[in-house]
Amino acid sequence: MEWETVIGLEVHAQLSTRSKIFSGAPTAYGAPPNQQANEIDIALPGVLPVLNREAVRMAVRFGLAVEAAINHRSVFARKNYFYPDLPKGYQISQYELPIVQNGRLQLDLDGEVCVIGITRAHLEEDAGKSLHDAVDGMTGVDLNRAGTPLLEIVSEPDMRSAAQAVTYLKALHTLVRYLEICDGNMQEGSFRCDANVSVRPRGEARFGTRTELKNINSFRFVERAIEYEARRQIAVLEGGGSIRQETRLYDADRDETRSMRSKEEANDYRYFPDPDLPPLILTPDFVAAVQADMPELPSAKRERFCADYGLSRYDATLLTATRELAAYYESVVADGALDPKLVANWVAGELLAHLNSAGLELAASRVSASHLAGLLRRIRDNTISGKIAKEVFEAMWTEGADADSVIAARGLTQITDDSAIESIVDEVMAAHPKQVAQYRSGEEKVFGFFVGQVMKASRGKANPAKVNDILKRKLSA
Amino acid sequence: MALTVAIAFHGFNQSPKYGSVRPISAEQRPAALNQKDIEKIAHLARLEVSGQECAAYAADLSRILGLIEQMNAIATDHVAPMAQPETTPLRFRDDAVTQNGDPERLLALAPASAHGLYLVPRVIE
Amino acid sequence: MSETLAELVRGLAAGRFSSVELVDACLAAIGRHRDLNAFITVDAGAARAAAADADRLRAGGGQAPLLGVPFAHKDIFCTAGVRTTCGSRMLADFVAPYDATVVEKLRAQGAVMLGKTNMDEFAMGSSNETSHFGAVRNPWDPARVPGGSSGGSAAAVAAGLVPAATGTDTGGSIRQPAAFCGITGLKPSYGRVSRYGMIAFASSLDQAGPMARSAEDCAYLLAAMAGFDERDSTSHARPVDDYVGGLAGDLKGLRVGVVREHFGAGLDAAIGAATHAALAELERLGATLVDVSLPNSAMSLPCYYVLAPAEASSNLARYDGVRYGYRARDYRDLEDMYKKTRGQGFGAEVKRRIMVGTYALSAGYYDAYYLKALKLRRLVADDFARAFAHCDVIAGPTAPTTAFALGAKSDDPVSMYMNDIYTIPVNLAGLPALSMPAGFVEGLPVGLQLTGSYMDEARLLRVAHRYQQATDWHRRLPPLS
Repeated sequence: MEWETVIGLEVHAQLSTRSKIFSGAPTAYGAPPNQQANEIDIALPGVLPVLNREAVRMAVRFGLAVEAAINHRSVFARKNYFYPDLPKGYQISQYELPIVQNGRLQLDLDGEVCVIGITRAHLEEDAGKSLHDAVDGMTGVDLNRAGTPLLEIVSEPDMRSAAQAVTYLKALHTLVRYLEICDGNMQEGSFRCDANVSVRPRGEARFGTRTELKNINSFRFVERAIEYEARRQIAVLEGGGSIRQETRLYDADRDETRSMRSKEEANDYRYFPDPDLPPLILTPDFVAAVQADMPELPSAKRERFCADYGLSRYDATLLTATRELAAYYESVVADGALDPKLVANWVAGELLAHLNSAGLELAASRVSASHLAGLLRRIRDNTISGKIAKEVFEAMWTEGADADSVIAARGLTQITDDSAIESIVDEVMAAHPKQVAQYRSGEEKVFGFFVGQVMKASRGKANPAKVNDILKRKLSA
Repeated sequence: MALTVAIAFHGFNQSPKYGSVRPISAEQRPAALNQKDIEKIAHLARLEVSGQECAAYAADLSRILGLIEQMNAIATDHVAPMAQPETTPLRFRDDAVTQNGDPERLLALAPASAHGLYLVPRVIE
Repeated sequence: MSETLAELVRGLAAGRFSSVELVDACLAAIGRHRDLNAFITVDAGAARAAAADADRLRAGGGQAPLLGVPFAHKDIFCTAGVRTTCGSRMLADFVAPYDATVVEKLRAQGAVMLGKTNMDEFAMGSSNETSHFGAVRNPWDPARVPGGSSGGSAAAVAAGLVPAATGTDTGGSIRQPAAFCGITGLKPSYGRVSRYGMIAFASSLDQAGPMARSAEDCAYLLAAMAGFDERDSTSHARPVDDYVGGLAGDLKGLRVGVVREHFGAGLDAAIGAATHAALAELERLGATLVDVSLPNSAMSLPCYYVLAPAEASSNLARYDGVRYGYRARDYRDLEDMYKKTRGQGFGAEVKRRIMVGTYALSAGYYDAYYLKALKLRRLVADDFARAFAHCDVIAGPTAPTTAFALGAKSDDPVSMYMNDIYTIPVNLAGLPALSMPAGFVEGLPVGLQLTGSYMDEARLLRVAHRYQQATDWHRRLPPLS
């Protein structure tokens, strides 16, 4: 039987506010335990929550970006359960009336466009962290993270493959960083993903029983966890078994999912409206102000890069992956009034390769946009060849210097003077009479040999176009 | 009919979220809780209740439920729920770090702590 | 001490006595009447120091009306440095690192806190018998309860231990003990007084308010307590009325609503008679009595006993023995620690209400109980809105009986709950209401409840003040040994 996998994702994005969603404690990552948990975060008696405007603004920003309905009225509810990292014994979340509903995100998967529905996005507070076996076989609780604002983004079960799910997740990841509402740092848990996975015979309209996969906090793990889980479910069904609706944990080391029975027991969250927080009413003015402040979205930027710069979809997608990279690219193009395609090759090629191998963010790049523009100008004006330019780039990366000083210091200026090239060509021909004879007898493939020899003799500085012209002329003479 | 009542009433663990068990109509709703019900509720509320107390709580809660079920005398089909006095819209705070308490003083309130962490019996996941 | 707070305000201003003298007199009275068990904590040292400061400020020209006036806080308000128990074993040794907004405000006015008064555990009770620190006795008859949950505050004021005290009212916890102890107590409109630092029982119903001998006293206290607080999202931004300045005026043209349903079965006949006499007095003072109806008020009690426990079950989840407060000594694992801590830390009534609330919110019962109660709450609130189209205030009995004997209702929670039948609808609607002394039945005080429309505290206080100018029920003192 042929099976179809059905996937929906729940993403928790930590909103990059300075202070917590309901308290004035800081949200910065990495402080010593419990140094950023104030009396509200640790739920002392009598304390009360007051909502952070910026968290609301960020949620609306996201809602507008995914063409969702922004609810005029939304309600904070309490989700009640006992856990040591949940100080109040309830999480303030949104349940029946979320702030954002019915959005959509368009994906481009190998040239095929598809739309993934976003059921809802709601505001809630993060919990603290439990550190098991922290001290003498006891669990330690760090509440620094408690109260950090989260936007939970719930997709429709619209995805049909692990690859598609990852594409959606990456698009969402790009989007929240474009919107500057989340730093997207998956290692630090700023952007977390759970997946609901089920399988069904192809052609079947009803959904199969789903499982919820937790702890899949990298793009690679998302793909592998979903693939594993789909295979597992298919094997169970084909073996005549049935799928249990449950929460499963992905174990990256063993590349498998396993049941979390502890989470299953009596999850009766007893949601009800939080009486400490009146309903959240958003005025049209509030929403309009957020709209007026929207940045260009990744999809719009991609289209513009294709149209304005004549880039391929592939390059446009690559160069608009982050707002910073796109800005870098545009700044190089503008700075040097350069050929957009040439710039695209260099940014997507040398620059990204160097950043990746050095493990650096773009902001820490050792070659600035203006330095790269300076280098590409020297290619355009034939000061150096493309090949030499790579050498120059390498030196620029290592030394942090601009192109002209590297070229000057190393004497890499291209030889464009015809007579200089002619004399090198003459020397090469004189040194290889056998190959000259071969060429003249019709073996034109040795032409490449001569080019190589000339370039070698000029230590790569001869202008390749001129070398071609002069070689052709002299060999045919 | 009797069977339906029993299933719905003892159906605590059958549904992870509220609303999925069909609300029981006034005539069907049982007015008495037994010890097993008390055990389930006490577990949900994380309260230790001894066997003896259980019987007393079952009797008390049944009487309180009897009072509560007087609500069914009034039809409320088209009434909008009122969760709190509707007097003031939700206000916002500016996104500013204004209070970070006094971490050491807060931690000193804990029954058990070490290395800046609150300590609890080991949690097994 | 038999003076009203207003008389002390004037006496201090005139230099007839010092704050230190007042505080010493109060501390002495507290010492003499320990058997009432009105206080959980007395902070004599800090009170004397604050009184001395107040006297110095006064000598230097300080004129805040409450400067140097002694009073007590219900032990539900967090006080930095002084333990806050909420009447519970769970918080028996808890010292908050901050002051509640109400505490801050009264301190800023120079009022001198003598200590923290006894109360029903987590404010859940109508008799003050659920306190971990023992029952409070009614100064009018030590064999009787003072009412609850602000029973310690009511008894302390009635016995003259302090001229005034704060209270909180979720379903009648200021008004019913005020009625039982023969004092005046006001529950303000929801959102008028900040709830920050006031330990929550049922957040959508809780309000803090003043308890004192007279309406004039309450006006002074409320003026200091009320006002917007950015730390409480349910706090109202509306400016505070001039309650003291607004006391003047007569009752001409005032329409007093008399609720038909208040005089049905369940009301003690003698209390009914006292209430009618009080209504006649208001009429004599120029008011017009108007017949009004609150047809759904009978639903208030069941509605309240869903909503308050539901909110409480969630509000009290934070007491888990992890970050502060009581933790059981022996336990097997985390779940056992939770259960033992909460099982031992909470008393029986608190556990009953947590269980009722947990049940009402649980899977399958939410619609039938919690949602149903929210709808009835709307009907109850709408009743008031309709009634106030025909009257300016509503007057009626505060409680169906006078103070009952200690232990009389401890075995039957439901009969205990019936005590709040007249006070609960007001909390559901979020309205202001006060109880003032309006006679005696067999030597025990009877309270008259005045309910106003939203934020109409000034009018309530004016009506009560005018009544108290014409009567002396509020000046009667209990025959203390």
